[in-house]
Amino acid sequence: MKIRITDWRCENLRIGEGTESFELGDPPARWSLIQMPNGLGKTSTMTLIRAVLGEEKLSAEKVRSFKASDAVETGEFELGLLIEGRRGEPPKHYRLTATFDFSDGSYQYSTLRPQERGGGREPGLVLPPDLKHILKSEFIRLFVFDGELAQDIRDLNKAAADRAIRTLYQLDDITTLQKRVANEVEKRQETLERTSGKTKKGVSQHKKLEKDAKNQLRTLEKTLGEKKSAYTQLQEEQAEVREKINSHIARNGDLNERRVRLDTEAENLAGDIQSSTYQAIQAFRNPATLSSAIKSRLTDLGTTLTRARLPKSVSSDFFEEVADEGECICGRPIGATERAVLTQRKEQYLAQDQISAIATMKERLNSSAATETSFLDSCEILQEKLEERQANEKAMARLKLEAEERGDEGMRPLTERESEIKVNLATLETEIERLETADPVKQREHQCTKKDNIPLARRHREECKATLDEAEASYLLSRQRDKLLDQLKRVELKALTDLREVIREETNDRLETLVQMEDLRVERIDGALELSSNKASSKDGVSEGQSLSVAYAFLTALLSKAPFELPFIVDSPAVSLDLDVREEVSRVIPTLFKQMILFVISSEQAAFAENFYKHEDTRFITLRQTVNGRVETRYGLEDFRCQKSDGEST
Amino acid sequence: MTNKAVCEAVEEVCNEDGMDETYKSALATLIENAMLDNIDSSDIHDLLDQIVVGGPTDED
Repeated sequence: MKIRITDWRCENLRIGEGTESFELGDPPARWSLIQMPNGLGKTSTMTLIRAVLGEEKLSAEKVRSFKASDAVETGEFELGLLIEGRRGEPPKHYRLTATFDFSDGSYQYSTLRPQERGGGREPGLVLPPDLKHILKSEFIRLFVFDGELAQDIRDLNKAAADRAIRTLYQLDDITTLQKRVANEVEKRQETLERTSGKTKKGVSQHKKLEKDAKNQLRTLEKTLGEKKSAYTQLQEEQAEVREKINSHIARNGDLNERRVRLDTEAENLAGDIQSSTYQAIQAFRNPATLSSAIKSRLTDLGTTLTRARLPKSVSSDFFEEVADEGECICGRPIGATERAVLTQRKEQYLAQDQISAIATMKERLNSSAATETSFLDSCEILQEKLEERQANEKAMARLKLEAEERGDEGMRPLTERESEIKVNLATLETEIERLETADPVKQREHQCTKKDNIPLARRHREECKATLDEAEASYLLSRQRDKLLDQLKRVELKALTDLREVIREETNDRLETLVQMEDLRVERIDGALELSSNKASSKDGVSEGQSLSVAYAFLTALLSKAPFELPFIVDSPAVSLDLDVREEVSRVIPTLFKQMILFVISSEQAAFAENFYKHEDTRFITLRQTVNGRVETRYGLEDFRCQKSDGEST
Repeated sequence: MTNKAVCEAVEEVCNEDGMDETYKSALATLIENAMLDNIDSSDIHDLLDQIVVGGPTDED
């Protein structure tokens, strides 16, 4: 991807009132030397280029510092870019603008994409997404070169060298990815209802709970089996005892006749009680049979519905269908207004399913049979049958007593055992019901818990199992996350270490050409550049010229390996260099970048700017202040060469 | 287009951890897509699913 600066335009900014444009060519010249005297806004221009490229936040005070004079209230800076995509797409023009309101210190960024469909002025920075990661303030300082950076890249505390490498090679995105992974796992674990098992200890706790629940269920199932077996045995014994009692009774003919009669009666009563219970339940479910008052009111409702001819046959569905048609049934057209009214008013009518429900209810109300047995009558019948059964049982007991009184000694132990069995069976029935009932009403009645009821114990075990499964899944996810995060950290560190070494070697190759008088080298990059020199004086501190040389060498090494071709913009690149170093720098740096924009002052012509005179693809721009205080822009080498130190031509 | 240094680092880390070629490729793709700001949750979970780790033992 190639990025070039084609021009910029200042309106009412430091350079002066009115509009001043700087055209670098389309496509822009490889080297642009802009000679302007101090005080005409070189620093402001550099700041504005950085600001629009990085959408930088500006204080109101900063905004006001850009204004040309107190006479202006608004200003604008516009930067023209030519961007060529990665896949050899034709370059496209972008215009980044910052609009300033000096009265309140506010500003606004916008982008114009003249070659894009719908690419009119849009708020903010709208550039190809590939550029997003490099257009950060810190990185922009590298190619819209900030002189302070020359110091910062050697300052261990600022780690500017590492940050530059990380930004350019997108290692920061690996850090962001690590955060994203941790966040995604946390979100997934939050969706699990039971997330206490993210750790090994948590999983072990859930495992123990599940094991206890499983054992509890097994114990209860075993107990139930034992009780059912005991119940069956008792039933068999009961049958044997009854058989024996009957045979004892049979020894007395009259008593036997009564026993047979009572047994038949008991059998019939059992059937009657069952059918009476069923009828009572049925009656309870029918509101009309609960009381005569309810029945009367329901009948009245049925009559009212019939009299009022409800429900109406027209349903809301009808109006919905009409609204969907282009024409009403009367032949009039249905437009948007009519459709809206129909749709709104259809809510006043019942839907078809509601009509059907009411019609069914009306039919039931009207057809309520007068002969239906009322709930109270059903209860009375059931009560009678229960009393009869009680009387039957008493009669049977008396019969057994009579047989005993007639001198049958074997009868007493049998009847006593029968009674015991009856009590034991009843107790077992209760215990079995408590153990196996799944009916919530009965569970409440027996005050069942997971410790004495199998369905509750089973449910508890299933819950424990589900919790364990989730805890294990959550724990597994935590371990997978830890592994991936560890790998990403190692990838990031290894890549950074390798890149540091590659860039260190490249930097040293360039330093060999730039600084020929001494063996100034980058010893290592660890946050910052650590230098070594064969001269004792350079070990404690390097000169400003050397510092710049190191910065240029590092930046060009860094950017030469990047997947981007960026312009390099620098203010007064040679002003602090000795003449011999200038010669070297001016000889070397033109080859380092595909586009260079150099702001120079007249004193930099000697041994620096003059070395560009021979390069054809160079644009020379000269700014000077006229006698009336206005700024004049001139293009061409002649004006450039004639500029004097005070900004006036010779 | 992930930088060569990053690709080599992925290769090296995966080799150290004994990860297979499928995983290696998936990790490199995830990093590349992260650099293009083009990943969603499923990309991350798909890669996590490929990581084999032992569960807690019964004795724990």
